[in-house]
Amino acid sequence: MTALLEVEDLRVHFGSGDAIVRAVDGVSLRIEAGETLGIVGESGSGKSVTALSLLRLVPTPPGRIAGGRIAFAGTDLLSLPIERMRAIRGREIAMIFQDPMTSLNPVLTVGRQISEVLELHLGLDSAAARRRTIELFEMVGIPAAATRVGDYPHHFSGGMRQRVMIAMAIACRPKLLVADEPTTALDVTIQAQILDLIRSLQHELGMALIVITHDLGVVAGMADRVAVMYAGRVVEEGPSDRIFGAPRMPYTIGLLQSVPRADARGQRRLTPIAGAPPEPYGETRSCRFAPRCTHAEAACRGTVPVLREVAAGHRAACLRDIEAPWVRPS
Amino acid sequence: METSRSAGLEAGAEPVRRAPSVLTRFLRSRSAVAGAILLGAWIFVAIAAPLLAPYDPTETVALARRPPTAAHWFGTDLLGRDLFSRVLFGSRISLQLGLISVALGALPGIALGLVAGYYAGLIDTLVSRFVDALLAFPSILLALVVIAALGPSIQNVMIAVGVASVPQYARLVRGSVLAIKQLPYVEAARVIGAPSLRVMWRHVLTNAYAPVLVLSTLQIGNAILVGSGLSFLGLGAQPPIPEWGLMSAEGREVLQRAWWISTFPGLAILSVVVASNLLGDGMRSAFDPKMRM
Repeated sequence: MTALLEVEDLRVHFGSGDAIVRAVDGVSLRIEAGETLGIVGESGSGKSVTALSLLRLVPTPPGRIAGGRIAFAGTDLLSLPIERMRAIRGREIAMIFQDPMTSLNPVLTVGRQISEVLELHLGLDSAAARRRTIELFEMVGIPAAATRVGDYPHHFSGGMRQRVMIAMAIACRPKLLVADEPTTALDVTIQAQILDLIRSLQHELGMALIVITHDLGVVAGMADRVAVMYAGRVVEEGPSDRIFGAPRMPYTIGLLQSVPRADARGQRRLTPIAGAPPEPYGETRSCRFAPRCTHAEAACRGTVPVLREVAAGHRAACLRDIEAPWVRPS
Repeated sequence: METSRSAGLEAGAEPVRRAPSVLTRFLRSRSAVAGAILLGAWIFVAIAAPLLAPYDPTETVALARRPPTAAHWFGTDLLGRDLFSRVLFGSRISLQLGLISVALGALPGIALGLVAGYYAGLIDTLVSRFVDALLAFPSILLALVVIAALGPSIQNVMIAVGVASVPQYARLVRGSVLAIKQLPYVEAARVIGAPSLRVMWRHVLTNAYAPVLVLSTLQIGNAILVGSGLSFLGLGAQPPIPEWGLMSAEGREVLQRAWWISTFPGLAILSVVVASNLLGDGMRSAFDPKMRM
């Protein structure tokens, strides 16, 4: 069976000439219907650009999709005419963003903004769209739905606005929901509520979900599989319990050692990763993590490590055979 | 409505109070209301001028250069015409000039600015260089060029003043659009698959109108002034048409001996300009959704 979404060797470049930034440098991903994929990485690792590429919404110029293939339900998205691409945006693939405070148009009522999706894709008239909007508001847990549809975004708190965004995203029952840092701008108690909501809607609607985050905790609780990105590349990818229990790439190991874990036994020091991510300019000729890696050797500076299978369904891009100082049985 | 009320109670929400409408908030601002009333009064005068004016505005009805009296409230002009009647009739021409030339400048200007800002790249370069070239000329000179091409008349003054203000609108709108199109809700609109035109119109332009509104109201005053200037040069309204700019120009020579000939048309221009500015400012605050609390 073909996967719902297959990304192969995706390359996204920004700028031109000498100053090309390879924001996404050969990323391959695969997600099955109904599955949850977590993409983790620090700022600038190419997570969000990857997500925007799925909808072909990389800002052009200065960005452009320089190569690769994105197949969604068997359709090659990159060669699709723009009208057909538009029909997929919001209907088949929906997206929610980091900052709910600015993701809604301040001069339109929230009801009208959700109706817009319904009118665009499902051809509902305004009365039907309004009824459906109220249903959607109830689905995402907005109290007094029928009166709130007439309110403007600034009448809502951050958490409620994110619920509005989610209502807009699920309005057409998409097959894939991309959540780009859905909880980063929210406070902790609201974060948990929003994640619970996304999870329960995913089960209810049978959507596949891509959660993009720099917060390992968010991914740990939600994702079936996790892809770790560093400097535009996927450096490790595998089932969630393998990534957290038995990571094989020094960067992932470093990330996990730098955050506190509720399941750690005894006392454990948090170890930060030394250094900073590399400059994004120029072509890659070495392992981009090598300068910060405590396990790096001469070979790491001369070759670009490719993802290789280290266990069933678990791939890591490391020349060496590094194991985490802790290993949990999966 | 039944369901909504019970949902609200279940959630323990306080009764949802409706935000005051745009009109309510507009009416709360005293200066905006004053501007609206003043401009409304001038529009009324323009429409009802034949009924309100005591004399024919183009006929000599008394001795020339008579100071204001009970019979001639604003005095008489160089040819002995009743200045009060001429000011009343002048509102017809000046208001038309202000409104029509603003529309003629704003519509193409907004369209150019929107397209340039939204599409960026080559289109932006072409439009922006064109606009820069136009901006390099003083607007009165641009207007003169248009008049020279079309011939002097009040209609051509409207076209000229409108064309001369196109680059200002284009520049202003482009700037706002550049800022707004970066905002996440514009991206969100594209994510839901909205076509470019719809995104431009519904999500970008609706958020860019505030500075345009303010510029337009300022531009009403400016258009009246430039139109008057052109009339003064003999390129706009031709005597004996009662046009405020022309009238104040006529009285310039005798300002020390007959101050009223220039002063009353000047005050009329001032009051329309102030009224349109107050109105614009009030509209801007009233439409701002953030004030809807």
